[in-house]
Amino acid sequence: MFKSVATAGALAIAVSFAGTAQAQSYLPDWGIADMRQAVVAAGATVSREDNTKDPYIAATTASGLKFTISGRVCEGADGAKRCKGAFLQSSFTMDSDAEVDAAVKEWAPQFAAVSISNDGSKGMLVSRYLIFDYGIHRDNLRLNLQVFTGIAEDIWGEI
Amino acid sequence: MVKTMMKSLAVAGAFMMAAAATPAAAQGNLLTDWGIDDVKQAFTNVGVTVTDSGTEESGALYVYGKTAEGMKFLAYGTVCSGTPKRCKGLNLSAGFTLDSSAEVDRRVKEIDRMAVGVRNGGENSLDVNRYVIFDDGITRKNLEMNISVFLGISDDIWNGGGT
Repeated sequence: MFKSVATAGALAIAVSFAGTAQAQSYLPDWGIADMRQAVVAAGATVSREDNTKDPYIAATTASGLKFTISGRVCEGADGAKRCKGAFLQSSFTMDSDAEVDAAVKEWAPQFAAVSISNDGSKGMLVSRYLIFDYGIHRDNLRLNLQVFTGIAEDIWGEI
Repeated sequence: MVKTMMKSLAVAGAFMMAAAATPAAAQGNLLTDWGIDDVKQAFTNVGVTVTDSGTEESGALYVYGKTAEGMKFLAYGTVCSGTPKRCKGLNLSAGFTLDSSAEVDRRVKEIDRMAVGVRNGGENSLDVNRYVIFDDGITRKNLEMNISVFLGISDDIWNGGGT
């Protein structure tokens, strides 16, 4: 059985339907500044950025988990690209490929909100892919980051 | 490969869904949670036939769908509350029965599609899923895009691809 993914808040935050406010709060794509803001809002620290091609951010949570965010389906000039997808990932190195396979088999059925796989280099990859097309709220982005890092930290603490 | 629906998965919550006026949040183009009608509409808009819907014994909302190509899948709710019940999470899942558990493990290892999770679901089932979070709001079109991406990848995996 998948664990339910508990999210913050028992009630939805009211959403403004005013055009201007909606345009500011909803992201149909993202640039490096949007993601940096979300990472910080999620309580993590940005350790490295690269915006020369598709945006890339490396970050660390308060408890020390390292993760990265990379842009997918990006358009625009180098240094100003905006992306329709974001790939969140964190990897945990193990002693052998067989150990990774066993860990994937144990952990993958337990969490619906992430993908857990063998990265091919003795690492167990925990990842989540976000789709921005047509718009998600900035706070939804922050919560997605928090759900991802929360699950990754849970796994990190158990392996 | 034999097509089968993934087993229904129980989730937390035990409230019965009741018919009532649609909440204001469901009337616009933004969704901060979802009810049965929202997902039914999204399925229809992406060309999927709704084959069943309702509330599981556990209290989770569910909607079954079938694509034009015949692939069956399930959407079920997590973090559900209220009357009528609405949910903050939506898990899209499909299960494909293979010849053996070892074959499932082999496929899990070779499939490389970042937008879905794949796993050995037991009983020789290769399970594919994508989880959507609604908290604080996504647009209806974004939900439809999430469903379309899930279906496109699942169909590829169903046909032996995804590597």
